[in-house]
Amino acid sequence: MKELLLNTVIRVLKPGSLWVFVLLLVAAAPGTAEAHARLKKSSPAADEVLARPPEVIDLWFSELLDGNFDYVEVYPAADVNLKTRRNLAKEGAKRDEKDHTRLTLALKPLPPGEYAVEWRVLSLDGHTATGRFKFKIREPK
Amino acid sequence: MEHSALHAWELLGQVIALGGAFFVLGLLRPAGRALGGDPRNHPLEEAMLATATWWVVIGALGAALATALSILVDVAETQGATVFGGLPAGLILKFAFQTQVGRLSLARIGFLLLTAGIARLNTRRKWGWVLAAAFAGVVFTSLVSHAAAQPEARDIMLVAQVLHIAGAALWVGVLIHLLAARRAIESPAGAAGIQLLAEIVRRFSPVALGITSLLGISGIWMTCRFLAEPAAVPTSAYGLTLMVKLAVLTPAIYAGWINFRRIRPALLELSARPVGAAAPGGETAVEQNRLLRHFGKMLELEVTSGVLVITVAGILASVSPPGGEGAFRLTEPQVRALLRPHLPVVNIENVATFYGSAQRTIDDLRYAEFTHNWSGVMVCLLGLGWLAQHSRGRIGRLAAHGWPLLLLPFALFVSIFSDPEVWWYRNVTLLQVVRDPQLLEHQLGAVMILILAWLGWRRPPRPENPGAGYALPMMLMAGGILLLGHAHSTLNADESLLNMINVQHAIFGTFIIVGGTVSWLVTRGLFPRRIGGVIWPCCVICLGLYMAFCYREVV
Repeated sequence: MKELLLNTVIRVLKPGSLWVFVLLLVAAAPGTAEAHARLKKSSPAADEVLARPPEVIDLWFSELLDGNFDYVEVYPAADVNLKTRRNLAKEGAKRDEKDHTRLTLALKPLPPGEYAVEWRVLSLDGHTATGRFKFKIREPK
Repeated sequence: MEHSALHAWELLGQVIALGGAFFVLGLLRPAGRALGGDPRNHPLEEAMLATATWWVVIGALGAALATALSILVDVAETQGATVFGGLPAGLILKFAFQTQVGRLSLARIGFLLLTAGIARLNTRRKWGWVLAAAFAGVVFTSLVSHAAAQPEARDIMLVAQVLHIAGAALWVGVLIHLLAARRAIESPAGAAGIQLLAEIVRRFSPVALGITSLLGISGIWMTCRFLAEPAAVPTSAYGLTLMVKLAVLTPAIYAGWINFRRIRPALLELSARPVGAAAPGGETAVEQNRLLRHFGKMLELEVTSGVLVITVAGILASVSPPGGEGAFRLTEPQVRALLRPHLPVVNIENVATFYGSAQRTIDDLRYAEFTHNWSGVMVCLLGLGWLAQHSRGRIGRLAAHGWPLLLLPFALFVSIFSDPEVWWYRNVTLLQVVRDPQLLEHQLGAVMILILAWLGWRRPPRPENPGAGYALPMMLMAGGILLLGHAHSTLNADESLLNMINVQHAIFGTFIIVGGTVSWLVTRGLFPRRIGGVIWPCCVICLGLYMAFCYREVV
C-alpha cells in the first residue's frame, strides 16, 4: 500500500502530468495577493476633518488578522512623543467575526482637536504590522 | 532580521527531515530491492541509511527549535522590540496558547519532535510514519504564511505553498542526504556499491526534473499573485529578493544539468560493466573513482545553491510583497532619484537639531545619506583591496595586509555615526540597544566588520586561499542575508520612505550575497579561481559605488 502510494506520487511528479495541475491552479485563483497586513482603508480616513466626533474607529487591513494580539490606541496628536499617553478608547479593538480583516474600536466622547490612531496587528502570516495616522474634529459652528 | 534567519533555519530543517524520509522510502529502499539484495551494495546502503537517519533527526530538531524561537520573536515583535531585551513569561504563554499563530506553531513543533522521535526508533517500518509526520510539519508551516493570510483564494494559495515546500524537500532535501553520504560514496564502499548509486540516480533524475518544474511553476504562479506587474520586480524589496533567489538557483541548475547529462549516463554505463572489471588499480576503478569525485563536487554545488535558495526563501517570507495601488513599490520620482548619481554628501546639519523628533526631517534624511555614502566609499576601497590581492606580487601582498586595517575605521564609523544616541549622546542603555531592532542591527553590523578585520589580520594570505579562508565568504553571505532582511519599520516615517530604504538595502544585499556565493564557490574549488577571484571583489566594488553615489533618502 505504501509502495503504491509512493509510486503514485512519483508518477504524478513526472513533468507531463503537471500541466493539468497548472491549468487548474491558474483557472481557480483570481487577482493579486497581498502580504504583511497593510491598512487598506479606515473610518475616519487618514487626515480627514470631521464635523462630529466619531463613536467608533474602523480599520480594514489587507490580510486576515489573528484577532487575539491586536492593539489600537487613539490619543491626542500632541502626545505623540510622550512615553505614556492617554488612550481614548473605551475598550480593546475587536475583530469583526464575519470579516477577519476588519478591526473596530469604540471611543470615549472626543472634544474637538487633532488625534492620532496608532495600530499594531498580528496577521495570520505570523508578522506584526504597525502604523499611525491622524484625523481632526473641528470646532462646532 | 531574526525572523528572516529563523524562517530560513526552520525551512531548511523541514526540507532535510521530509527529504530524508522520501530518500529512504522512495529511492534507497526501492533501489536496493531492484538490485535483488546484492551483498556488494550493503555497506553503501547501510551507510546511506545511517546518515539519512541522523540528518532527519537533526533537521527535525533544528526546525522545532527554530519554530520555538520564532514564537519568542513573534511575541517581541508584537511589543515593537527585539527578543534580546527579555519578554514576560505570561505574554509568551498568552501568545502561544491564545493566538491562532501560536497554536499552529506549537502543533508544528509537536509534529517535528514526533518526526525526530520516530526516526530514532530501531525498526524498518518507521519511515512511513516519519514521512507523514514531516509532511504534517510542512502543512502546519504553510498555515502560518503569506498564503494563509490571504483574504481571497486562500485555499489555492495554501495548496501551492505546501507543494512548493514539499517540492523543495523532495529535491534539495534528497540532494542534502546524498551529499551527507558523500564520504561513503567516494570510499571503497561507494565504489563497490556503484550499482546502487547508479540505480538511485536513475530513479531520482526524472523525479528531480518533475519537481524542479513544479517548483518553477508554483513559484512563478505565486510570484504573479504577489507581484501585480513585471515592473514591480525591480522596484520593490520583494521583487529584488526574488531575483536574488533566482540568481543563487543558477549554480544548482547548472550542476543538475551536468549530473543529468554526463554523470548519470556514466554511472549507468560503469554499473553495467562485468563484476570483475573494477579491480583496484585497473582502468575501470580509476575511472570510477574520478566519476564519483566529480559527482560529489556537482552534488556539493547543487546543495550549496539549494541551501542558499531556501535561506533567501526564508527572507522572502518576511518581506512585504508589493500590493495593489502601488503599495511597497518605488514611486516614479523615487526611481528617477535613484537613477541619478550624485557625489557623496559632505554637508550635514548638527545632529542635535533633528535627533529624537517625531517625524524624520530633511536634515535627518540627508544625514542618513551621508552615513551610507561614506560607508560606500570605504566598501569600494575594500573591494579594490580584495581585487588587488587577487593579483599576486607586491601589490597583492600590500593589499592583503591593508584591507583588514581599513575595516577598523569602517566599524567605528558604522557604530558611532549610524545611531548617534548610542555612543555620541549616550542616552540609551545597553538593554535599550538590544531591544531596538534598528539599533541592534547597526551595532551587530559593526561587530561583524570587526570580526572580519580580526580574521583577515590573523590569517596569513596564501595564493590559493586569499582573504580569510572560509570565514570571509561566510561573513559576506551572512552580511548579505542581514541586509536583505534589514527592514526598517518605524512610526516616524511614511510608508513610501520606508519602502525606498528597504528596496535600497535589498540592492545592497543582492550585491553581497552574489559576491559571497562566488567567493565561497571559489574557496571550495567549485568555481574557476581566475574569473571568480575577479567577480566577487567586483560585486563588493559595485555595492560600494552604489552606496557612495546612488543611495538616496531625499527625493
